[in-house]
Amino acid sequence: MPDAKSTSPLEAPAQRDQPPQEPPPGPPSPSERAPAWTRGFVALYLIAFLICGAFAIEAWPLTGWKLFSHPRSPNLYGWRAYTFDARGHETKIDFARFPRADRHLPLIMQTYGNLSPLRKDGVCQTWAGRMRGFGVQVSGVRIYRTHVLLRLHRYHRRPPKGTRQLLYVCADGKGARRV
Amino acid sequence: MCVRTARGRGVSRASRDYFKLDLGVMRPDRWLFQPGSARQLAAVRIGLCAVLALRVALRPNLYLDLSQQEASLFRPLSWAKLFHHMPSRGLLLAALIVCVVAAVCAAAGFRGRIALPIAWVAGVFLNGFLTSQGKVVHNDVLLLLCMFALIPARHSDVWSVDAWLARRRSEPPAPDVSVRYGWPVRTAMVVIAFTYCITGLHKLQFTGFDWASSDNLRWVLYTASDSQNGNSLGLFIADHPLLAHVFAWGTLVVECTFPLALVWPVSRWFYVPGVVGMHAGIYATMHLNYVAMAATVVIVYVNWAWIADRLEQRGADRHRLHPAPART
Repeated sequence: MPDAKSTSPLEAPAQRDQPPQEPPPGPPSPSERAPAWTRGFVALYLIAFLICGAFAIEAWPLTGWKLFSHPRSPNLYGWRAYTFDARGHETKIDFARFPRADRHLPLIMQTYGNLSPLRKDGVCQTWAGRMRGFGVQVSGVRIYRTHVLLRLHRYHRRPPKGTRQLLYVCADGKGARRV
Repeated sequence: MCVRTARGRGVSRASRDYFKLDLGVMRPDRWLFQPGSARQLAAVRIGLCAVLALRVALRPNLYLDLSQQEASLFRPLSWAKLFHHMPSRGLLLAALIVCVVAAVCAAAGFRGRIALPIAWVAGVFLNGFLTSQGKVVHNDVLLLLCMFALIPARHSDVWSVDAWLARRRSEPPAPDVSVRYGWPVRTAMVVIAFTYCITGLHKLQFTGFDWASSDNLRWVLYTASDSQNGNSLGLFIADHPLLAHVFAWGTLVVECTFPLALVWPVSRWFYVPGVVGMHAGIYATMHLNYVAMAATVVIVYVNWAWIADRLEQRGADRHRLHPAPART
């Protein structure tokens, strides 16, 4: 076979494999055909990839590719979590100081409402334990839903002041409850 | 880059085809299994495995810190549901070492056909737990999906330690072009093209054209800026709605029409820089690192065999212009 010559770094392999000044080769001879198992492998792989992608099925590493696909509105809802001590004084939970795997409050809160009371309390206890490790006195955890109107952000570097609403309380010994 | 070489008199048919629509893609069974270059496949192997090795080796704590996660916060996805919590630090460290060593061996082509599947499995293991924190992590998925297409392929027949050892044993050299080298690269090209296309179509499915025509991107950028305590570039774009619309429409067009790069080869000069620019923009404004995705697109779509030919030719020309002095 001649050495593969081509015309451009972004060419199709089919074209760059053809020698210049010559017509492209015809279909490969039967001995050059890809074996049946190779064809089956490629077909199955591409079908699985396309089905997972098209129907947004998460069979990781096959994935649904829903990157930034959901609409955002100027009403930005988020979460804030605070610990409180025996006198009710609140301390904001600084998730940036937590181990990397425990930092994602919004991700945890996506499924928090569906957890069993025991698991809800387990999440609060984890945060409370970490805050105690920083020397903070903790009697429980309060989780707030926050709201910011992004329309007011224009030409301001800092986000506009938002509002908050208490949604969950986890008090020591009493478990988690929705307010 | 040298699109010019395909113009003027004496242009080869292959060169002219570069500017035409390649409707052969409509017959995927034929298109996928055309002959391909052994060197292109080897270059893709080297590139993808090197990126995986670097991604894992340069961010060890990202994976090792997973072991500190409390079981109550574990949100497994897919096969990770077989586990009830994150693996221990020791297991993650072992997987990390295996992944890096195997990926380096695969990139070098040393026992490549064994090393590449091992590197892939270890990479899927590590990144599978990274994605079990409550959010699907896509950063390295495209890299792993393209690597998967290479697993059964003969990717180490050239540009590898294995090929060098075979030459020393006086074994016959592998052909430069064969059916066995074409399909892995083309499969990876299809995976990339439809990854972007599906990503764009999901935007249309869930949001419609409002994704680009409304202020959607502005709200994304304001939110991302706030999470970084202010991002000047992101805020500048968000503060100028027209600019935000231009970027949003650009993203939608590049993503949805990416499969055109398979049909019309010259359009790769638009799509490859387009997605690299898109990922660079996402990093600059949102600090989301999709370098592995951008690198995968470049590795798979650039014609490395062409570049090697040109470098070889240039070296030969230089040698001819400056011949070694004759010894007497």
